[in-house]
Amino acid sequence: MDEQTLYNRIAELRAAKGLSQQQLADAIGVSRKTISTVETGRFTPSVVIALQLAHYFAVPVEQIFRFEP
Amino acid sequence: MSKWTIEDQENVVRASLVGALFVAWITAHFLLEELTLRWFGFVRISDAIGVLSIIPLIYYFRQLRKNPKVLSYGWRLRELCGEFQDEYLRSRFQQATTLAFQLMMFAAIVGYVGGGIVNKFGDPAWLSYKMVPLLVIVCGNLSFYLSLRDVLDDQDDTPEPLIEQSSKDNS
Repeated sequence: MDEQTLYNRIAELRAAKGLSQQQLADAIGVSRKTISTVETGRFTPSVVIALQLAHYFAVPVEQIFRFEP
Repeated sequence: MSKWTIEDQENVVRASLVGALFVAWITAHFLLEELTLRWFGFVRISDAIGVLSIIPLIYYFRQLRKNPKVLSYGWRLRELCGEFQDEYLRSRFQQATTLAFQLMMFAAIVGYVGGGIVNKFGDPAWLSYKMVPLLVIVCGNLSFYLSLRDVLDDQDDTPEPLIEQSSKDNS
């Protein structure tokens, strides 16, 4: 199976809210390293975290995660 | 499983790192002690390595003094069994334990076969009953420690320039 790259806009959305990684991590109940590694694409989060992020930023999941850069 | 805070989960990882490093370090001393004695016949060097195994003990007691909860978090690790609620920790912990398990099995089989060959065709005095188990423990714990040692590292390569930009925009 071809591995697809998952791009995300977490850093952008986070910046728009003026949040640090730690603040976002605390808000959705994960570690800062989870946010940090998801942001840089080193770790692919589960649907649960994706939905939590979407809920937190009040945007559809597709606006945070996508396959195109 | 009760709700564990992120801090609790990170402390469990820290405790398991301290434990793995201590066990790998002290068993490496014991293994080197055996090797220098059995393979090279260096009695004095072997004794010296044995005495130097006090260094990992000092490290462990220093860690205990700095973090008195190391033991209790280490003990609580069995409650989690790698099922960390935090996804990143869970993923890294499971990768580390899987790799350690594979290496331990590999070392055990190689030690078993190699030991058999040495006993049959070589000099049985080269081996002691301690060597293979020590090799297995060193491989597993060292692999576990090396896989996880950067998991809680605060210095990672994630820049946060957008926050600064946002702050400037706001001001």
